[in-house]
Amino acid sequence: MEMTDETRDGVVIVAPTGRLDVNTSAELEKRLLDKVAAGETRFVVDLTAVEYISSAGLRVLLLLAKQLKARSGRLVLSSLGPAVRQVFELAGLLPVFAVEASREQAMGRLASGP
Amino acid sequence: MDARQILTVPGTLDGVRQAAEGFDAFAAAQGLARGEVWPFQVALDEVLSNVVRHGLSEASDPPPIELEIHLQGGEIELVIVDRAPEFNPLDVAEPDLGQGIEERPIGGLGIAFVRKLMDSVEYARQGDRNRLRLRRKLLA
Repeated sequence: MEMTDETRDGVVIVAPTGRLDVNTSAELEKRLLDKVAAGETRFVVDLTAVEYISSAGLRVLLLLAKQLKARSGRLVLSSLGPAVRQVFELAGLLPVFAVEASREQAMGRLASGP
Repeated sequence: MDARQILTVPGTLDGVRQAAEGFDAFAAAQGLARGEVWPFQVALDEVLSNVVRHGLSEASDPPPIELEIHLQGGEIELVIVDRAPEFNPLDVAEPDLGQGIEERPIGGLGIAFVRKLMDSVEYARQGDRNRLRLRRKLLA
């Protein structure tokens, strides 16, 4: 899958594109967990360009959130399109994640938070 | 609008990818809007990944999976036929979505999604095959 990532002000920003399904989620998981293993603790996952997400994609984001929580880190999700948002809602996961409307707002939340 | 397509894909994760691409190509050829097709894309991923990872994971040479996509009367029907051991996803209990992030088990959501996203889900065991029929009306 196409994916962009950068690190800005100590925050890892990852933006997957296209399908976030059983196949592409495995790639995303490796990319994210490699960064956690490298000691990164603050993440923004920007979902602007994700067409749809299945439970496999949600699983990866939950896994990242759990690992970061265990390391006193933080994950903020940003820019959920309508299809992606509905899947989070169906799963009852919107209250579980920190979610912001834009990447900049997500960055702001990480800058101001603990 | 009436269109039908049958795809046969390997019973592997790469087969799941091929099915997703096949469905996308069908939807594009029929001019279906992205906002209309995502529930089918998600349901297909859930069903096929379950079949491959649980139903066929023991098979050294996994048998192929057949997918039929049928658009008719403002409705899409997906029929998925596999030769995994008998498994009726409708027998699976609904997960507890009220749990917090710490207690929430990873996985187990997929079948709940399929039931919520589709108007109708029907299962039948036919000989050595599982046949799952999913239907949902299009909005337009």
